Amino acid sequence: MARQGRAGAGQVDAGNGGGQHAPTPDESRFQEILRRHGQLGDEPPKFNIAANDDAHGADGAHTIDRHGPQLPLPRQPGVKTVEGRIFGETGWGKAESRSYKWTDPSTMNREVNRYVQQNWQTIRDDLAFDGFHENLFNAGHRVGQGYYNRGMYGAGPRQSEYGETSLVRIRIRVVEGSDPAVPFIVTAFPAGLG
Amino acid sequence: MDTSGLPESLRGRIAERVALPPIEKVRALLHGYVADAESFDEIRAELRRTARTNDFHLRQYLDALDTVLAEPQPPGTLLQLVEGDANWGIDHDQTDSGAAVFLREVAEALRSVIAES
Repeated sequence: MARQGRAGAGQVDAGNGGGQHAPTPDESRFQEILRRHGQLGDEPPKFNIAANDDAHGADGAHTIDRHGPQLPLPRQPGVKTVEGRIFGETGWGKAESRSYKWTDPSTMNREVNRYVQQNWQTIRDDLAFDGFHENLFNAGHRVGQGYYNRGMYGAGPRQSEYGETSLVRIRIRVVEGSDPAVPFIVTAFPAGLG
Repeated sequence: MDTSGLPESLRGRIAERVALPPIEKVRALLHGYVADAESFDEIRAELRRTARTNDFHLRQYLDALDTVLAEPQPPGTLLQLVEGDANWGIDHDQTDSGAAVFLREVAEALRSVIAES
């Protein structure tokens, strides 16, 4: 794949003039963007998160592994739990400020697909441009439960506090090298603000 | 990058993201690549996946992060970026200075990924 030139990188001419300092367009990359945009199509895809994670684990998909409804909530010695992530315990790589899981599989699939359905044009534009889309949305009702660190921002020692949330953070990618372009969910998880 | 031949919605989306203030671009970087990561290796892997397709927005993020780190910020801003937006605990130094160390590490990871692309 041809790469974008260094000169002028970071500048953009959105077609409104003023492009005298813009770099020479990389025709190959330009055609790839248009090609992905066409391949992704007008109709939003539908996702089943369990099947999505099975198919794209090697590409980084990890919703079920880190936020699936099957994860136990409270800390248990030697067990990967939602609360344990606040402390970087068994099964987790480090301590986080917030750790939440989906309440149930049907809510998880319904809210992901509702978001994709309602925002497909923007998602499609992002995926066509650089293969990646991320956003935070409010489902408008409880979708997840978990914990946040009451001691963050220097407020005190690390301490988990239970909470519920209607917020969801989502990341979507195109499988690298897929032709036609295949979108998948990298992760979608309840995101309490804490 | 001359986007004049792209579909109108896509041009608008690119322009919208380019117009964000630096602090919002940094938040987008942290939300997209850091907030659910288990390690810096995972952050780099995700950045590389995007860079191999198109590093335009990653360059925007790096410029924004360099700007935020270089300019004075209101007290608590950097710490909130790390423990809030990046969801990354820094119990050993919960200060703006401690947060700046972490954010510089993110900037260097991003810089090296862009240099590879």
